[in-house]
Amino acid sequence: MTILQVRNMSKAFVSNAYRFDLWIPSFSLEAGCFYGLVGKSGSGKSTLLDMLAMVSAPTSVETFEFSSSSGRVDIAALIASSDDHAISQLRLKSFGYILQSGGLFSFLTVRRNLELPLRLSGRAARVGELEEMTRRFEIEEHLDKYPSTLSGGQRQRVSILRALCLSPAIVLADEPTASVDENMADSIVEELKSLAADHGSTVLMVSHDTDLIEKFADRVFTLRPELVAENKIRSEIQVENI
Amino acid sequence: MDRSLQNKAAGNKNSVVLHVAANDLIHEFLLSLCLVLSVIAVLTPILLLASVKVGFIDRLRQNFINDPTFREIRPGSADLRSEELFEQIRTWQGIAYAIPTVMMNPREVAVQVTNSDGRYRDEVRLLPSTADDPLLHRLKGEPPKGDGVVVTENFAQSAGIAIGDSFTISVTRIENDQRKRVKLDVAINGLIPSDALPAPTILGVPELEKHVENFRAGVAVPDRGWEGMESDPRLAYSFIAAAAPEPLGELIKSTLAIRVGTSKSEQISDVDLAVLIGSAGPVETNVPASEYWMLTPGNSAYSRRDLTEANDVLRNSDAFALGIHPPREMQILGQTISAFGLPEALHLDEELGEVEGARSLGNSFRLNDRIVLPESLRSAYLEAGSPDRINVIVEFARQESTERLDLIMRPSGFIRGDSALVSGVLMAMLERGRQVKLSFDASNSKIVEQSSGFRGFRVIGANIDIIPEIVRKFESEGIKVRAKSSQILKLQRLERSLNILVLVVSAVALIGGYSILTSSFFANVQRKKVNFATMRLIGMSKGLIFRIPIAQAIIISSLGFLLSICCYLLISYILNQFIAVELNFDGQLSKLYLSHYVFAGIFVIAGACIASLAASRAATQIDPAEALRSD
Repeated sequence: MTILQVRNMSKAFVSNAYRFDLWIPSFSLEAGCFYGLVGKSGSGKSTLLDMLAMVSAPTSVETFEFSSSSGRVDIAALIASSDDHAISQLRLKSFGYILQSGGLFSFLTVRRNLELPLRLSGRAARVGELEEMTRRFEIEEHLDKYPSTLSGGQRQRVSILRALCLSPAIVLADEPTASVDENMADSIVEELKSLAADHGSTVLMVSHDTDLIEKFADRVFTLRPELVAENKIRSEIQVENI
Repeated sequence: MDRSLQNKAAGNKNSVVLHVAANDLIHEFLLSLCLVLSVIAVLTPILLLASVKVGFIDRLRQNFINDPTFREIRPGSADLRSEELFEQIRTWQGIAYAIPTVMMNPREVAVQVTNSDGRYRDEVRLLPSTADDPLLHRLKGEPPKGDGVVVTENFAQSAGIAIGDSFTISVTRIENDQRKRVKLDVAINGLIPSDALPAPTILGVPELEKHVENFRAGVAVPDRGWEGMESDPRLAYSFIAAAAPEPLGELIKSTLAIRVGTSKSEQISDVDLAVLIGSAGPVETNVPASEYWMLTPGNSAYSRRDLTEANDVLRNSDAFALGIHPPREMQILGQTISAFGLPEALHLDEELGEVEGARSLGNSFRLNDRIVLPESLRSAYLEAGSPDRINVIVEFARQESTERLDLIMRPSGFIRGDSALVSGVLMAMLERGRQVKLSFDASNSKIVEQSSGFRGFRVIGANIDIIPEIVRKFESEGIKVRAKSSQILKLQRLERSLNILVLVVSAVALIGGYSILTSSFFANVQRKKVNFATMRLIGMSKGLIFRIPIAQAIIISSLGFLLSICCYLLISYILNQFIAVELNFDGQLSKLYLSHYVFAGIFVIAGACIASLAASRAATQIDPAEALRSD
């Protein structure tokens, strides 16, 4: 089942004296799959991820739809109408986001960080729920610590748990392994894939590490930037089947 | 969605906002503490300054409040006033109590106490009072009732009497060069503390004072069997006119206005004078006059003494003063006829009609119970059989003291026109009847006063601040009064000045304080752009994010406010316990009321919320994509 459908989406902006055009002629995500998005630095990977996370509006878009068992949501229309409430609700319930830095709140303990999406969705964590979640990643003894006391890998694991605690349909992971070593990266991605599969979530992971992506992804999207004119870069998405 | 579910969801989200805001502040404890301390540093001195102002002004106010004379308004002149005027005064705003008194100033009565200790004699003030009199608010016993009175404790101690005891009041008057005395036994119903009324005083029902003063004035008091004196009513005049053969000098006119008292003085012609008194034709003075200078009284009528005063002023000129009245309606031979009075010094043009003995229209009603009928009544008079005596009914206005007089008068000829002519003295008696209750004694063919009227009053304001306003109201009604309003006004001016001082100092301090809060909240948002961007990514709406700096402002300001109150209470305690004692300050030097705390709390918290608005707006304007990438 296609849960995210994008057609003819573009984003134009100026960066470092270059006019940059990101062009997505067709892009879709199937339920339960693990996708990789690779590309050189500056190819527009994070920009695409921001547009998919609805924090950056596309310059133009023909189709941008999210589908689930409860129906279809026209995200393009929500963005056009600047319906912040509907967008934030969609983001809360159907999208998880993992940042390169983990994106944990330094002023909240691990427990409070994990509880936050639950509380925003109007429910409290069941007794033992957080312990059970964190046991799998062996971080349950760190629940009442602040993120600054954790290692990079532990922080990313907490970030993954937070992104998946509401079992979102889509998890967008922006270079989640950038700040850990190779072994740790493998471990994190493996855990991400495994947990996402348990929650039935689709993962789109951005990484510059092609090997890592090829190792875990069911399908890989590649952004290839080209200098199409003087001071003008065009980057278009391509699908590479593994 | 069901409304209760919506409310629950909103409550959940607010608790998330509060949770995030509080945890952020706790995490940055030192910075948060500095913000709380800045609130304390601004608010505590303001509270102390305001409290010293309140304590100081309250002490001064208490001095005024403890002295009942500050709330009291007393008459400034002995003008007669009708009882109905006091009905109106009681309806004025800010009047706690109003009671008319017969005399302008309370007079003393002789009291005699005979008990086992011997005999005690004294002269003690008598004041009218009722149960609702503010002077009785610390009453021990019962309020005045019938011949039961309340006395001040100092009098009771001097006389050796207590509640339930009796004593005798004796009242005297001089009648035909002889002292006439009446006695009255009264019981003590209650006592009031001497500080409420420092002078030894008896407070009795209003009738008691009325009876005592009526007896003194020679007015009969049938209720007590006290006889009156054989005397005509006192005379009162609507206007006084100075008739002058030569124009009056400015000095004389000014002296006249000052000594007689006037709300208006103007020059009129002899024609104006005739129109004023209601004469159908011209009037002439016994001594030719070229101008008339007319004086109009204020709230009350002119008395015989005022007329004498005017004549004293004019003694050295050829001018003289006349008491004059406008015409008034009377029922004569079943018809309502306008009647005018002719003052002694005026006479009518002889052409006006055949007037029998008109020259003797003057001095006393008994001698001058004559009425010159208008030609329009000639046929009615003849049809009635030309009687020697006719009934003349004079009705008074509703608010006047006398309701109606049924007079028996002697017709004495006819006069041209539709107006009857009566003596100036009768008109002056009728003027008196507006202020004092009159009756007609047909057996003696005499008009008598039934009371002495009211020349004074006790008016008590609801609070000291209202007194200047009540004084202005009295003055606008033409009633001269005395009150300690200038001291109250000084206190009010001092309070206003101190209020401005406190406000200015507070404004300067608050502007500084709010600037610190505004910049701190704003800087906090700028430092935490990534956090706010991440909040957006995990599903927080802009609305929730907007509330986070506001929630932090509420937490900081509430903590700051509560700790400021603690600091203030501590310093205030030191001021009141040590500094005030050292300064011999009688009362609390530093004092705030609950309303001040509530106002300060609302002001500080609302101000902090406003100070956080810029930060709140900035938080919602953060572009998550940009904030996350620039991290």
